[in-house]
Amino acid sequence: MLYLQMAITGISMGMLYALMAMGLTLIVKAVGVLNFAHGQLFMLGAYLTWMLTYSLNLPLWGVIVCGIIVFAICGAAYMFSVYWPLRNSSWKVTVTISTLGASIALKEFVQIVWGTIPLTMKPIVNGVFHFGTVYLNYQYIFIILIGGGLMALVYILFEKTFLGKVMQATAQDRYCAELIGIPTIVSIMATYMISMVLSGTGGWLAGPLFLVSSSLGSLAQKAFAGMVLGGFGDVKGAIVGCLLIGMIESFGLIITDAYKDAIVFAVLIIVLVVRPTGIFGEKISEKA
Amino acid sequence: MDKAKSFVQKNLGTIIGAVVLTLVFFIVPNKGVVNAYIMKVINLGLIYFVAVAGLCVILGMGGQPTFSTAGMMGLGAYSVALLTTLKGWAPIPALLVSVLWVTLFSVVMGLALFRLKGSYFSFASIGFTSLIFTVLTNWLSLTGGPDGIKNIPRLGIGNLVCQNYYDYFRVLFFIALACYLIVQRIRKSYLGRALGCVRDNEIAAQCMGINAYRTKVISFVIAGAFAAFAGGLYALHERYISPAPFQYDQSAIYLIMIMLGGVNSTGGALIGSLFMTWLPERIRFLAAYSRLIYGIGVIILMNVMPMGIMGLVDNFRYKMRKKMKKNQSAETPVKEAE
Repeated sequence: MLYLQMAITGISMGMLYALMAMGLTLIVKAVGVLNFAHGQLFMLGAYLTWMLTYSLNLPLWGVIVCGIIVFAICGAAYMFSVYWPLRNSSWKVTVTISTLGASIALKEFVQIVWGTIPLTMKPIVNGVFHFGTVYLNYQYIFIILIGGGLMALVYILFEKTFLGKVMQATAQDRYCAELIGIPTIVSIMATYMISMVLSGTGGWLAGPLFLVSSSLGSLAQKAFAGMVLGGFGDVKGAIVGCLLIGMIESFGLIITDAYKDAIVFAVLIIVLVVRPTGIFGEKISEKA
Repeated sequence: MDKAKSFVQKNLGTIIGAVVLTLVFFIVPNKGVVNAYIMKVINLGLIYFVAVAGLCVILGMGGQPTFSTAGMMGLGAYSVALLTTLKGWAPIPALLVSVLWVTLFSVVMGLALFRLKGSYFSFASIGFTSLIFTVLTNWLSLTGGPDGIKNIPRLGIGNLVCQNYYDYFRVLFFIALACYLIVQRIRKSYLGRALGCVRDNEIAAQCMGINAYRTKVISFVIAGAFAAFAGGLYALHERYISPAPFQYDQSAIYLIMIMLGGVNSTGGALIGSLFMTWLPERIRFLAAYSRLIYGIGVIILMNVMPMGIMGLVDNFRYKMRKKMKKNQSAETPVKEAE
C-alpha cells in the first residue's frame, strides 16, 4: 500500500515537472534556444495565482480565467524582452545568457514585491484522501487530473488545429514559414504564451504543496533532467521522462532521503552514457 | 641602433604590457593604495578568472556552454580542504593532487557528457553540478554538510606563508598571468583552431579530419582542470568553505563573466571576472534591488554588446583601421573585398 502512495506522489510530481518540460520543449523547438528562466516562470505563476486568490479575493473560476490571461500576457512580455531583441544574433549563446539574466531578475523581482517569507496557499480541496492504509492529499490527485487534461489540450492544439500547424511550421523552418506568409512573430509569441500558461499552472498546483517561495524555481532542474532523459526535443518523450523522474525521486525515498536529488541526476547521467539519445529519442543524422 | 629600434617596434605591445604588469605588481598590493577589503575582492576576482579561463577554452573556442564549472570548483576546493585538514598535508601538494584527480574525473565526465550535443550537453552539465552540490551538502560525515569546513591552512611552502591578502595577491597575480599565457598559447595551437572549427561547423570540422568528440572532451578536461585549480585556491584563500558557492547559480555567474568581458578574448575574461566580482560589492547599498538591476543589466548587455567589452574594443579598432586604410587608399587606390 505504501508503494501505491509512492506511485501516486511520484506521478503527480512528475506531472509538475512535465508541465514545465513541455513548455521548455515547445520553446526549444520553436526558437532553438534554452530557457533557463523557466523555473522562475513557474515560480512567478505560483506568486501570481497567490495574488489573484488572496490579494484580489477572486473565486476559483475567477482565478482560473484571470490566471490564464495574466500568464499569457507574461509569456508575451517575456518573449519580447528576452528573446525578440536577440533573434537575429549570430550566436545562440547570447539568448541563453539573457535568459540567465532574466532568471536572476525574476527571482529578485518576486522577493521585492511579495517579500522573502514563503507564503502559504490553501489547496483546491482541503483534506486527505483515505483508502485503506493510503493517505493522500487531494491536491496530488488534482495535479494528475489537471496536468493530464492540459497535456491532452496541448496535443489537440498542436496536432488538430490550424494554429498548431502554424506553430509547427514555424518551429520546423522559420524562413520557409515566413515565405508562405505565416507571421512568425505571432506564432512564436503564441508558443511562449502557451509555455507560460503551462508552467504557470504548474506553479499554481505546486503552491499548496511546497509553499510559495522563490526556491520553487529550482524544480526546473528536474524538468531539464526529465527532458533529457525522455529524448531530444520531443514533447511526448519529455512527458514520459518527467514522469519517470518523478517516480525515481519518489521510490528513491526507500533507499535514501538526503540523496534523492543525487539519485535523479545519477540515473540521468547513467542513462545518457548508455543511450545518449534519451529513452525515446531516435538518432537523427545532422544536416550540414 | 637600428636593430634595437626595430625590436622595440615589433614588440611594442609586449613591452608596454610587461611595464604595466610590473607597475601593477608593485603598486597595487600596498595598504596605501587599496585597503584589505578591496584587496580581498580583487583576489577573488583573480581566482574566478582562473576558472573563467577554462571557460574561455570550452565556451569561447569550442562554443559549448557548460555549467559544470562550479561543480568542478567544488570538487577541487573540498579535496584541498579535506587533504589539508584531515590528512594534514601541506597546501601545495594537496592542491596538485586535487587538480590531478579532478582532471582525471573530468575525463570520465567529459566522455559521458559529450555523448550529448548542444543544448542537451548544457542540461546534463547542470545535472552534474546539482549532483555534486547535493553530495557536498548531504555527506555530513566527510564534508560537514551546510556547515562546511573550517581552519584550512594558508597558502605557502614551509616558512613562506601568505600572511595577509596582500601576500595572496602577489601569488595570485603570477598564477593568473600563467593561466592567461596558457590560454593564449592554446588559442594559437592546433587544439584552439580545431575547437574554433568545431564551434563554427561541426560537420565541416569532421570532414577535415578533426575528431570533434575528442576535441570537445579535451576542452572539457582543460576547463575542469582550471576550475579545480581555482576551487583549490578559493579554499586556501577563504580558509573556510561551504557548499553554497558551488551551486548551479554560481556557474551561471561564470558564464556571465566571460560573456561580459568578451567571449573570444582571454583579456576580456579577466576584465569580466574582476568587474563581476567588484560590481555586486559596489551596488550593495541598493540592497534588495541590486540583484534585480544586475539581472536586467545582463539582458541589456546581451542586447547592446553580445561580444562583450573586448568585442566592442575590437569593433572600434577594426573601424579605425578601415578609416586609416581609406585615407591611405586615396593615394594608392586598392580595391578591397568587404
